[in-house]
Amino acid sequence: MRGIAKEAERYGNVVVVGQGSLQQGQDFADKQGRGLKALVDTARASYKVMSYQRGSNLRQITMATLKGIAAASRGHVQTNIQGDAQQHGGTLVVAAGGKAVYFHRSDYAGDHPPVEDTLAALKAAAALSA
Amino acid sequence: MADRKTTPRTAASKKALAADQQDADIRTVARIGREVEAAQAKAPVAHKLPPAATLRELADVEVQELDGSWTTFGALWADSPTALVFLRHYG
Repeated sequence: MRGIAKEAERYGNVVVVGQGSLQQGQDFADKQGRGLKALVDTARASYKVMSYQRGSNLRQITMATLKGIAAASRGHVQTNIQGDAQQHGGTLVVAAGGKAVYFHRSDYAGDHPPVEDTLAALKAAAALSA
Repeated sequence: MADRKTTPRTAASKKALAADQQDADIRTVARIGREVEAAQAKAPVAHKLPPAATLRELADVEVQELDGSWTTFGALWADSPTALVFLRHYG
């Protein structure tokens, strides 16, 4: 997301939500999330409201492993995991006022939507908000 | 400079003007509708959007800023479009 953050912020907020402690969120912001607005949901209340998955089956572990190898080949190496490693996330784009425009529910570790899709969704949300 | 001509408006011309204005309003509403549909069509589709009730519930969830203060998702998107990326974990 860092790569498109500057352009995306022309259309609206770009916010990263983490589910660890406040300290872990601050560490993340210092080391990996520079330039992104970050929020911490230690109780995982938002993850529960969105019904994001916890845990993985064999298919999901296999997919995550393949994704991990592909990411490592591009130089993205996972460092120390902080927070609940079983918790999955997702991406939600909302127009001003609270109308959902785009949603991606992560199915396995490394299952992220293309950042271009998130940017396009934010542009569409901005058009709806105007 | 020519004298400005004033045309007395008859009841019939007022009615015609009102009808024209109504047509213009209808065209404006239709245009806005088309623009909204076009904007929605441009938005990529991933998974089925969460229902409005879920969004309302999410709006009230309190989360912490990195300075320790608290905010809600609803406050974030009240006035501005917002992309939320929920991380699996830090690291």
